[in-house]
Amino acid sequence: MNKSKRLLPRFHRYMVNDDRKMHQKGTGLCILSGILIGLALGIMMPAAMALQTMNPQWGLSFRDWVIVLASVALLASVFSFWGTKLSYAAGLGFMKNVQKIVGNKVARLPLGWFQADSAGRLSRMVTQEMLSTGQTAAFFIGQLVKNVSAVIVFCIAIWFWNWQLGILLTLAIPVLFLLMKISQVCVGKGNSLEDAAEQEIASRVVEFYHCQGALRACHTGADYEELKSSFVNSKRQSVRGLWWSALGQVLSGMGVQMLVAGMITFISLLGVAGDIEALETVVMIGVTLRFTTLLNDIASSLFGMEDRRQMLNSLDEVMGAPEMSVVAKTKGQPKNADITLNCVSFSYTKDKPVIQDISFTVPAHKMFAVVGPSGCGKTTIIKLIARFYDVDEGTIHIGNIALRDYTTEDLFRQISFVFQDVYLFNDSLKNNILIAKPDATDQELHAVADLAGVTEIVQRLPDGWDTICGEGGRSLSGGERQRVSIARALLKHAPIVLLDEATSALDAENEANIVRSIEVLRKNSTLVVVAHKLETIRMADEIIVLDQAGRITEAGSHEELLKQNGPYKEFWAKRSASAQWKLA
Amino acid sequence: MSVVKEQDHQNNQAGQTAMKRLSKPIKVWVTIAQVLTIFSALLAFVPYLALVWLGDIFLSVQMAGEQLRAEQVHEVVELLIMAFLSRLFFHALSLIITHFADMKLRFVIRQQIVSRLSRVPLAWFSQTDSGKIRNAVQDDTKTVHTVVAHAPVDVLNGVLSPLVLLVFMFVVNWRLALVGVATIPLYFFLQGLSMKDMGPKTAEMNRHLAKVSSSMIELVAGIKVVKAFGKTGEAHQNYQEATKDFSQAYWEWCAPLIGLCSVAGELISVPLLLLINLGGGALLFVAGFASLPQVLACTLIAIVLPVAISSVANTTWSYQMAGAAAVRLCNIMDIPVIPETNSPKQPNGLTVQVQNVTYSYGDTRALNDVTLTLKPNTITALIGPSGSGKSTLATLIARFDDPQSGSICLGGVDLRDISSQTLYNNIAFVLQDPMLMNASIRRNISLAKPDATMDDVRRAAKVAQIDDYIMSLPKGYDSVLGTDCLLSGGESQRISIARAILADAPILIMDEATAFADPDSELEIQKALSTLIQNRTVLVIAHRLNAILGADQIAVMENGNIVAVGTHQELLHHPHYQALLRQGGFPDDKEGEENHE
Repeated sequence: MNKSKRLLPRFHRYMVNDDRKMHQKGTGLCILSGILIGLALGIMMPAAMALQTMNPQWGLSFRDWVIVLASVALLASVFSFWGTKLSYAAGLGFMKNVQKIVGNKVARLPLGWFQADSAGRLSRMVTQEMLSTGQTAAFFIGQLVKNVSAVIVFCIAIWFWNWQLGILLTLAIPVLFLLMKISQVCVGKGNSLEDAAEQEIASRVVEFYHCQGALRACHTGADYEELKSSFVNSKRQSVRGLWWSALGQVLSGMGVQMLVAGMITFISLLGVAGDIEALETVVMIGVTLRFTTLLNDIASSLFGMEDRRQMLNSLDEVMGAPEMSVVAKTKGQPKNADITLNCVSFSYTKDKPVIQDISFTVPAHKMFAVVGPSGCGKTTIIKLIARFYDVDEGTIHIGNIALRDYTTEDLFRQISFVFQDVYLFNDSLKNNILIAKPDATDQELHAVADLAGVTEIVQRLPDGWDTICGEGGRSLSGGERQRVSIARALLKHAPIVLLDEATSALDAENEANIVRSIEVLRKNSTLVVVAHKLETIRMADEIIVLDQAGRITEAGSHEELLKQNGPYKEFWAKRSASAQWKLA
Repeated sequence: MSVVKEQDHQNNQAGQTAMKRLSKPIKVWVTIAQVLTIFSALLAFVPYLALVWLGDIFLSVQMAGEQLRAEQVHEVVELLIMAFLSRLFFHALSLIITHFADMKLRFVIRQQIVSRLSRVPLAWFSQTDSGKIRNAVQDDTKTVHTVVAHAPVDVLNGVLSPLVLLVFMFVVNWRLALVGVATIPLYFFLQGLSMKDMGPKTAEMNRHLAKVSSSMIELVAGIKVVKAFGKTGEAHQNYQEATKDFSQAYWEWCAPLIGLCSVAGELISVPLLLLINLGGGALLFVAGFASLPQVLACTLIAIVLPVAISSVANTTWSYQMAGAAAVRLCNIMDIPVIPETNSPKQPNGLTVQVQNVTYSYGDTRALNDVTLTLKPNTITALIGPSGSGKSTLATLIARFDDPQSGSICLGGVDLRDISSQTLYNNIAFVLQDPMLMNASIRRNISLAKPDATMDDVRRAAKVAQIDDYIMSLPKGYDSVLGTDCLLSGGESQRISIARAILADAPILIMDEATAFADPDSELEIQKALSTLIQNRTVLVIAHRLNAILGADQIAVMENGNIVAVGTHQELLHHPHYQALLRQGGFPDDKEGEENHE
C-alpha cells in the first residue's frame, strides 16, 4: 500500500484538473463500493443463520437481511458503476494529457538536452508506455482500493462473527503484506538481473548491425561469439530472475495458502468442538475460499502498479528537465550580424571544462575558422552560439544583444547551421530544402541546388526532386545529406551561418561544392566554420586555434599564423604532408 | 461505434497468423502446461464438493442430535485442503513451465533473427537503421514471447475452470445452478458487444500509435532542423494531430464501452450475486428444492465464477496487441538471404573477374553491365563522382550481395559457388568505418584468426603503427574498447588495419578515404596502409586522384558504368578522366599541392 500511496500522487500530477478531480472521485467511489462488498460478504453469515434457524439474527429476520443485502448491492453497484466510469474517463484523459504535455515539453526543451536515444525513448513514452500507464490509472488503482477496503471491512466483520477467527485474520494480514512485500522485492530483483543482460544485448545488437561487414569478412556472422553469449547470458539471467520471482510468488502464494489452510482447519476445529454452529462453519469455510481471490487480486494489482514505476520515473525526468529561460520579446533590434564571445567557459559535466575563457569577435560578413585537435571543443563553440546550451561563464552576443535576450524564433531567424549529423525529413528532396523558405521560387531553389551540388543528385535519382529521403534521410549518403543541408542554409539567407565541416574525407567533387557554397555564403553572412579541410581553413579571414584544454592559443590570418612558428604552423605542416600521401 | 476498416481486419489477421507461426518452437511445452491447467481446472470444484459434504455432515448430525464424528469432519477438511493445494500446485507448475517456455521462445526468436540477418545482403543493413533491429530483437520479442506462451494457457484456464464449476453446480442442484448463472448470459452479451471487432480495432489503434510514434521521432530527431527553420510549431502540430487522431479514435472506441463494461461488471459484482443467490436459494430451500449446504456452495461458486471469466477478455486483448510485433518479427525472418552453395568449388588462382555485372537497389540501377579484371598483385583504383557505383562494385566483390545479372569470379569460379569461408580467406577489406567491437583489443585484431598467438597479434599491430599506443594502456592488449579505453578515429582505423594485416588475405578491398578519416593522425594511418597493400591484389575506392596516380589500372566510373580503364598516362586524354582531373585542380597545378586536401 505504501508504494501505491507514493505512486498515486504521481499519476495525479499528470492529469488536468478536471481529470484529477474525476479520478479522485472515482477512486473514492471505488473505496465506498469496496466497503459495501466487504459488508455484503459479512452479511452472508447472519443471513444464512437466519435462514437456517428461521429466527432473527442480531435482531433482523432473513427477509430483513435480504432487504439489507439488496440495498447494499444497489448502492455498491451504483458506486462501483460511477467509480469505474469516472476512473476510466480519467484514465483516458491521463493518456491524452501525457501525450500533450510531453509534446509541449519537447518543443520547449533546449537543443542540448537531446541525445541519440531520446527519440526512441520519447516515442515509447507517448505510445506503449502511455497506454499501459493509462490503463493502470483507469483500472488497477480502482481495483486495488476496492479490494483493499473490502478486505479491511471483511476483517472487521469477522470479529463480529467470531473473535478467535478475527484475531487469526488480523494477525495474519500484516504477515501476508510482509510476504507480498518480500515477494515484490524478489520480483524486482529478478527484473533487475534481466535488465543488465538486456542492456548488454541492446549494445551487442547495435554492434552486430554496425560491424556486419567486418563480421562477415571474418566469417563470424551468425556465430559472433559476443552476441551469442549475450543471448545465452540473458537467458541464464532470466532463468535466475525467474527463480527469484518464482521464490517471491511461492512466498506470497504459500503465505496465502497457509493462511487459508490454517483458517479452514481452525474453523472446522471450532465447528467440531461446537464453539460455532454447524452452518456457520460451512459458511466461514466457503467465505474463506472467496477471501483468497481478494488477496490474490490485491497482490496482482500491486505488482501491476509497481511495473509502472519506471515509466513514471522517466516521465518525471522529462517533465522535470530544466528549460532555458526565454524572453517573451527580443530586447531590441540586432544592430548587425557581429558575434561576440566574451570570456566564455562551458562544461557538459561538472569539473570537466570543455572550453575555457574563450573571447573573440566575428565582425559581420567575416569568415572565421576554428581549428584544433579532436575533442578541444570546436563544435561546442558553435553549438553555444546557436544556444543549444547556456554558457557557464561569460557572455555571447549577436548584434549587441545577448543570446538570452532573444526569443527562440528571433534567434534562429539570425542563425542558420550545417552540422555533421544532418537530419532530413521523410519527405521529398524538394520539401526538405524548401523547409528553409517555403515560398522560394523555382529559380531560387535551382540556384542553391546548383551551388550545393544537389542538382547532380536530383539528376541521378529516378524520382528527381520528388525522391523521398527516408527516415532521417537514410536514402542519401552522408555527403549527399550534407549537400542538402548546405542548400537549406543557402536558401535561408540568414545573417549568420555556423558550419561544422565533416571530419570524414569527402571526395573532390563534394569538396568543390562546399568550397563554392562557402564562397557564396560569406558574401551575405557572418560565417563561423569548424574546419578540417586545408582549403576551407585557408579561406578564413581569421583562424582561431584551440588547444587540447579548450583555450585559444593563437588567432590570426593564415599568413600571420604561419609566421608565428607556433602550434598552427606545426599543424599545417603535418596536414600538408599527409595531403601529399600517395597510395600508389 | 465507428466503422471497421478492411485494412485493420487484414492487419489483425496477419498478426494472428504471425503469432501462430512464432509459437511453433514451444508448442510441446505449451501443450504440457495446458494439460496441467486442465488438471488444475478439473480440481476447481472439489473444495466446493467438500463444502457440501461438510455441511451435510454437520446438519445431519444436528438434525439427528447425534454425536459429531470428528475424524469424518477431518477427512473432508483434509480433502478440501488437499484439493485446494494441488489445484494451486498444478497451476503454479504450469505457470513455471510457460515461463520457461517463453524464455526459450525469446531465445529462439533472437537466434533466428540473428542467423537470418547474418545471411541477408549487406545492402539491407544500409536501408534499415539499427534502432529497428534493436527494437525487433528486444522490444518485439519481449512483447511477443510472454503472450505467445501464456495466452493459450490462460485462456484455457479462464474457460475451463468456470465450466467445471458450472457443471458441478448443475450436478449438485440444477435449479440453484440456474439461479447462479442468471446474470451471466446478459453479462456475456454485454461483454460480447464490447469485444466485437476487438481485433481489427486493436489493429487500428496500433496504426494510430505508429503514427504518434513516428511523428514524435521526427519531432525529436529533427529538432535542430525544426528549430533552426522556425518550424517548431509545424512539426509539433504534426505530432499533435497524430495524438489527437489517436485519442479521438481511442475515445470513440472506448467511450461506449466504458458504460457497457461498467454495467457488465456490476452484473457479476459480489453484492448482487450474493443477493440473487442467497435470495433465490432461500426460496428454493423453503420450497424444499435445495438443502442449505447446496445453497451456500452454489452461492459461493456463483461469486467466484465471474472472476475467472473476466480474465479471458484481458488475455485476448493483449494477444491482439502483440500481433503487430509478431508481424514485424516474421517480416525480418522472411528477408531474402544470399544463398550458400551446397557443393563448394575451390578457386583456381587469385584473379578476380567481374563480367557484365548489373545490379540495382530496388528500382535504382547502381551498376550497368560492368566488366573488370583484377590481376594478382596489382592495384586497381575506382574513381568517379559519388553515386557512380564505386562502393557497390567493391562490395559485390566481397559478396555483400549477388549481382542481378552477370557474374563475379575468383580464380575462375563464380563467387556463388565458393563457400563463404574460402571467399573470406581470400578477401579482406578496410573501409571508412573501422567496425570495432566492444571487446578486448586482442579479440578485435584477431577476429578473423581467433587462434592467432599474441606475437602474431603484436606483429600486426606494429605494422599498423598502433602497438606502442596499445602497450601504453594499463591493460595493454586486454583493454576492452569502449570500456577500458576510448579510441580516437585514427586509433580505431589502425586497429582495423591491424586486423586486415593479421587476416592476411591476398585480396584487399579498401577505401582510400580511410587514410583521411582522422585529421589528427593521418600520417600514421597512411604509413600503416602503405604497408598493408604490399604484395596484395588491391581494389581501392578512390576519392583523391593524386593518391592513386601510380595505380596499375584506374577504372573511371560514371552512372554505374565503367567508362574507361587504364593507367594514368593512358587515360590522360580521356574526357571523363580529364574532367575528374580538373575537379581535383590538376590542370593548373600538376604537383597537386594542398588544393586536393
